[in-house]
Amino acid sequence: MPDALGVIAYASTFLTMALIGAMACLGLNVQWGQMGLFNVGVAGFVAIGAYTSALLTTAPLEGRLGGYSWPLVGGWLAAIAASGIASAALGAATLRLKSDYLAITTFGMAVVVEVILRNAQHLTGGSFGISFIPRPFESLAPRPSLFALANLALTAALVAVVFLGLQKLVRSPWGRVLRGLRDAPEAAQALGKSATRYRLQAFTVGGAIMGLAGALQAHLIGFIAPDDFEAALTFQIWTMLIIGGSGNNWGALLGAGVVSALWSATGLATGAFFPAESQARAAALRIVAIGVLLAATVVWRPRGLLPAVVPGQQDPKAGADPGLGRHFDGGVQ
Amino acid sequence: MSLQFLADGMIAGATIGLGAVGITLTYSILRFANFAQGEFITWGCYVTWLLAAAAGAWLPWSAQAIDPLSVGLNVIFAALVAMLLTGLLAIALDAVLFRPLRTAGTTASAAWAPASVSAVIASFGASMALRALIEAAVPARQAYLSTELQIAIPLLGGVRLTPDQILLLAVAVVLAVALQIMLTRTSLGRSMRAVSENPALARVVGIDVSQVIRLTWFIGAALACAAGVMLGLVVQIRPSMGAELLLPLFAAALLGGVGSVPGALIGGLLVGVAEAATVQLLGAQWRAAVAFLVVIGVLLLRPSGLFGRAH
Amino acid sequence: MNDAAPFAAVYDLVAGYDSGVPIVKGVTMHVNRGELVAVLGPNGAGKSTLIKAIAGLVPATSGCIRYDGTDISAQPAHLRVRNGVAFVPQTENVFATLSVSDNLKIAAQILTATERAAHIARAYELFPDLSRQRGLAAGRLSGGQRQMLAVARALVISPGLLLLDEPSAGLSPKATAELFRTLVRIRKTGVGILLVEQNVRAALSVADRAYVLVEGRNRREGSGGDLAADPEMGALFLGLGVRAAAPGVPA
Repeated sequence: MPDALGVIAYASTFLTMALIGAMACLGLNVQWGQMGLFNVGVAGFVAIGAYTSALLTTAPLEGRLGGYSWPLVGGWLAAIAASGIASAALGAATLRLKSDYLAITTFGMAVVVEVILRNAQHLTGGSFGISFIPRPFESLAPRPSLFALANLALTAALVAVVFLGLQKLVRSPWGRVLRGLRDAPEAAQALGKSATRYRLQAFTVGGAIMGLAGALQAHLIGFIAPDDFEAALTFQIWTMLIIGGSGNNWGALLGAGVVSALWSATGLATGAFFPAESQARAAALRIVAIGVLLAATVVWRPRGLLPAVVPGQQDPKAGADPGLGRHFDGGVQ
Repeated sequence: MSLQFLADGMIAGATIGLGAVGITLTYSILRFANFAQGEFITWGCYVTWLLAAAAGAWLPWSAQAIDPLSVGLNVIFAALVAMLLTGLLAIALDAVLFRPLRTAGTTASAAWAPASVSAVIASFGASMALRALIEAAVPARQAYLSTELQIAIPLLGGVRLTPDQILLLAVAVVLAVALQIMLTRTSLGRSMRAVSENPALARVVGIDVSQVIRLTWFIGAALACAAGVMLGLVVQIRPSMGAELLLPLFAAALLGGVGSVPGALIGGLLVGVAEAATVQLLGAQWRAAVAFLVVIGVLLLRPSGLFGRAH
Repeated sequence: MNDAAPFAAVYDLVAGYDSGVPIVKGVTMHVNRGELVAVLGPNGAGKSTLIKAIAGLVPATSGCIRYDGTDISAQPAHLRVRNGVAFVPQTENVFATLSVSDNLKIAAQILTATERAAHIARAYELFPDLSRQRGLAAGRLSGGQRQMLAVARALVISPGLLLLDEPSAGLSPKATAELFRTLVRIRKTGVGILLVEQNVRAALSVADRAYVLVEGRNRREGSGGDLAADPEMGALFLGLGVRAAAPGVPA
């Protein structure tokens, strides 16, 4: 007879992690879905948020900077600011690059962040990461199900606030300008310098939200290390957005839910079917599943699960892009 | 300051250059940045390792190191077969994943997205799956292609290279020359250049574009396998080895000029030497940042790279 | 009058880039050996799409394309070339980054080794200007010379059917005249030529027959001379110089 409280705790934790993923995905949606900016460095911005908040809110540690024991709210606000500033800085230099080149550049930036995380021991704790990150509702910790529920409520509230804020932005004149620029980059000529400004704004807002997701992750788990912010994280967030539906805030939420559910389900399956010694390798099979799912989605259902037009969001321009096929002049293959 | 870093840099650079050829070919002929290229390097190395172990077990004499190298015939034979198999893996991946994206019309993941984005995102999925398959399949945490220690031979200018490293450089040079001859003097090479410039026109002059595409994947992946074997002779084999090279691969291809195969090779050498110099001056931990600086530098200062066409 | 089946023909051809949106909506026409047939029509009539469908670059959703006794409707473009269907696109019809000689060599790749040298030599004979610039990158040629290279490239394989998509576009009148003289010479060697053109006057002056397409369908056909004298042609196309109205009525 499964322990009801245990199930509650497990389900709450699962939902909380899914919501954190959803938060990062919402940030990506602003950059990609609304503005068409191909950011393959998501993990880097999440990491900046996580580490900023962790360093500010933890207790002092010998040989490492930070540890100012700030209150959580302060840490989170700093995380948002730090990721936002990092996004703005990178964006100012690179946003005018073509998609593929922007992808490589943002990917490179995430690699550099990872390198710094691993090697700047005095700043980031190096490979050991940062432990004992203060968690919200710490006083409830002895009661796991209540603790998990409280954290879930907090995360859900934050995601709701961000979601509603983004929905408003999307429907606002600002959102319309973004999508206009996204759909017709030639129009950028007419807008001149302001086009760059809009791109930068979108990139910064998205990056800041990713930073918040990172901070949440740090504080809800209590421990972060460079391994948590590898390229795999970037690909995972992208998978969520593609599956859910690009350009669509609801899609971001749905995609996060689907991918997290799949992750958990496969975790239960491998736990049940594989012996303990093989668990690490079995975990790799779960990643194979995610990778195959992403590839299959791109081929068979590229618009994701929620391609339906939501007013003010995804543009229903049918037949807008003939795809790579046109480059090869489609025709009888 | 000793010039050893030049030698080390060129070894690493040869590896990066060979891997970068696939990136530049995929970008110029298929028009997208392939984030799964690193996995061909990893797969190539692991398949070599597996085949070499099997050959060594079946024919123990083949595992005898060929003096003065540290590897026996089994590794050499395995590497050649692995290059073939890795090439076939790339063709299979294209058939299953990238060709459907080419032939279907509006398959962009969003109506306004450039078509290449779908292929790039698909390559994320392929990269995750390929790497995780290795992690799932391979039991040992530690693997090496050769366990014999080698004495480095002193050469000019205080530079020392092991016999293995000299062989690697020689093989890299041979491959580079063969590649260049193929591209400039054979009909396949001409066809590849034609498809890279204008695939519709290539069709119209009678070129089987699908076949050229398959060969492009094959060559890029086979060379990546060679790079993987080179890497596996120098460092410990692990599932992340190829992915760790991905940014340097992009840097080399961009530096050399996208679409230029000699550019990718030279770009690789330059990136390798730059990384080695950085290791010498600042320490090994900052090596990965060099590739990023090269990428940013090229894209902001001279996007067509050293030898590329302005697209 | 030739009673045998035409050398090359399309029957009720429906074609378009997107199978749901046909641009060619059921066109029938034919070309015989040694015949120069023009395809005319206003913008958007589907002339370009038609000729690309015959070349194999645009998929045909229904109807039939026959060449030299075979149904080639399902054949991929590069195999049609090997069978003798040569296409000169309107734009980007040479490999700009390759030299003149490489452009011809590429076209000759599908020939046997013995044929290659001979056919390329013949191409240089037909276009002496090109012979003088073999090493030059094709992108550095003048507009007229580039068109000549594009045609030369198509001829290297000794095609039975030569398809041209608005070859005079962007050319000076002098270059256009020279181009059309060349086409007449080519026709005399027995090659069937299907020519899509906007320059109606020039096209009708060399065409044996012509078809007029409007909105993806056959509208008129007839000999070059008949159509040139036809008043409706003036209504369809400006600049034909035909008096469209009775004397005394302002045109």
